[in-house]
Amino acid sequence: MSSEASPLLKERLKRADEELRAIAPSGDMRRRWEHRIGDRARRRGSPRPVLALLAAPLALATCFLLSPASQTEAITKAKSEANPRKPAPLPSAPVRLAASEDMAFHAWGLRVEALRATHLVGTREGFRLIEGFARFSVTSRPADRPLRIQTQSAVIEVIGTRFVVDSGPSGGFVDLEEGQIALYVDGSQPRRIAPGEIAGWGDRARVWSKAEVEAEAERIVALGRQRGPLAAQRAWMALLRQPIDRHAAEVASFELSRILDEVGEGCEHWDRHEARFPQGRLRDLALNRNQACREGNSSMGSE
Amino acid sequence: MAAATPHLLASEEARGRAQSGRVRLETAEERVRNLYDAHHRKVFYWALRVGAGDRAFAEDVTHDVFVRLLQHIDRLSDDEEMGAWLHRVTVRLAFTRLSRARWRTQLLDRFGFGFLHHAPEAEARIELSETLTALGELPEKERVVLLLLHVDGWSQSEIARELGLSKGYVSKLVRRGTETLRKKGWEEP
Repeated sequence: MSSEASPLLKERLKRADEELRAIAPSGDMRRRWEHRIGDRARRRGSPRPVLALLAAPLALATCFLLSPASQTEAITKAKSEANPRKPAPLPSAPVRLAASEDMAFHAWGLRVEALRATHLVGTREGFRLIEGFARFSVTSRPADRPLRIQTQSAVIEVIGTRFVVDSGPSGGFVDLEEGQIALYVDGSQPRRIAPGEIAGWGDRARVWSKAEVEAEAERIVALGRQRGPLAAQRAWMALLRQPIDRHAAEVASFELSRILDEVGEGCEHWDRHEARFPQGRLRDLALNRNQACREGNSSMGSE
Repeated sequence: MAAATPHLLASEEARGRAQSGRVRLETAEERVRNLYDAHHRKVFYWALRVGAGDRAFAEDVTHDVFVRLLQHIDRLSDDEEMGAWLHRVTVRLAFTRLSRARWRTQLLDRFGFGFLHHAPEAEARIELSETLTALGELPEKERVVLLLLHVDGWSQSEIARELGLSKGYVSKLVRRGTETLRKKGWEEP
């Protein structure tokens, strides 16, 4: 006999499935699930703390007694995350931040601001920066807890500070804006970095001298004249990925924004420029141009 | 050296704006809770298919799935993968739960404790239509395979991959299930 179902049989299957779809779960399904995973975080905000205090151990004990071993692990995890005495762990799920997005992690006194698309993941001691360009600001780090930012081949130990890290698969650099950090490259001895100092690793280990940056800037300007704004734009972007002096980087970013203005894509980059150089020497100029850009004053882009 | 193109810069920015420019980190627990709100009805419905309309069974499976999700949330970064993961885990957990329940029943029967398995699920079971009752008489794998094939429009290869079965076995399940329903008069008007 053929295994091919007739249209009538298919129609009946669909009707049966519609009946299944119409069955609703009971009203307390969610509550029972919350109970099962030992959700104490929700109870923390309860207006009846005494009742919650009495109910929580009972609920957890019930869960432990009734749950198989595999679920106990999940419950323990949920408990530790909800414990207000311990700082919440950094996110172990990968976090992708688009440019200009930021996130704060108050228990660690840490704020991460993405200056370019950034991909990171929480670790026991801080973050692993898989790839990206971000500013890390640490305001109130507990003295007994180290905070480390790992990249592909370097580890940055934070000693109370604000800095930006650009990390790619084959190298990166850190630009310390304030405070102090220690840099470990490929398990080497720690190197203390002073404010204003830039340190690189991998294929960006060598910090460019001022003369090198100026020569490159001249070359890019000439390139722009010969081969048009797109070529110059790419070259400025490439220069910005290098460990260069912050003021030189600001100038490069400013020039890049001007070029992007010409092709009508400057507004996004002006925002990025402002985020990267909030205290830069060209700050006022950049603010004016960003403002003009926002107001749709296209004439500013052709200056 | 690789440099970002303006197009890329613009798309990154657009994505940043779409996400309102500010994000707050979610803990694993918060993320699972949000995913529960978004997907629990689907998971419940998939479990109902395996349990043939047994609401208590489907609720238990739904709980199992989201407890399992809490354990694996770190590895599931992409929300697009989430639906596929949830479906796969739901169906597999439901099959396992059914086969364990069957094994336990057989064991209790063998040692003369059959009265112990007055399954509370059976009492909680809601009144089912004739069609659904007939569908429920099919073995769970045949039922799920037929629904995926004829209602969801999956191919036999896709079903085999999703359920971790061989293609030949899926074909056999389809043949057997169709044959059983045909005998029950499902092809008669």
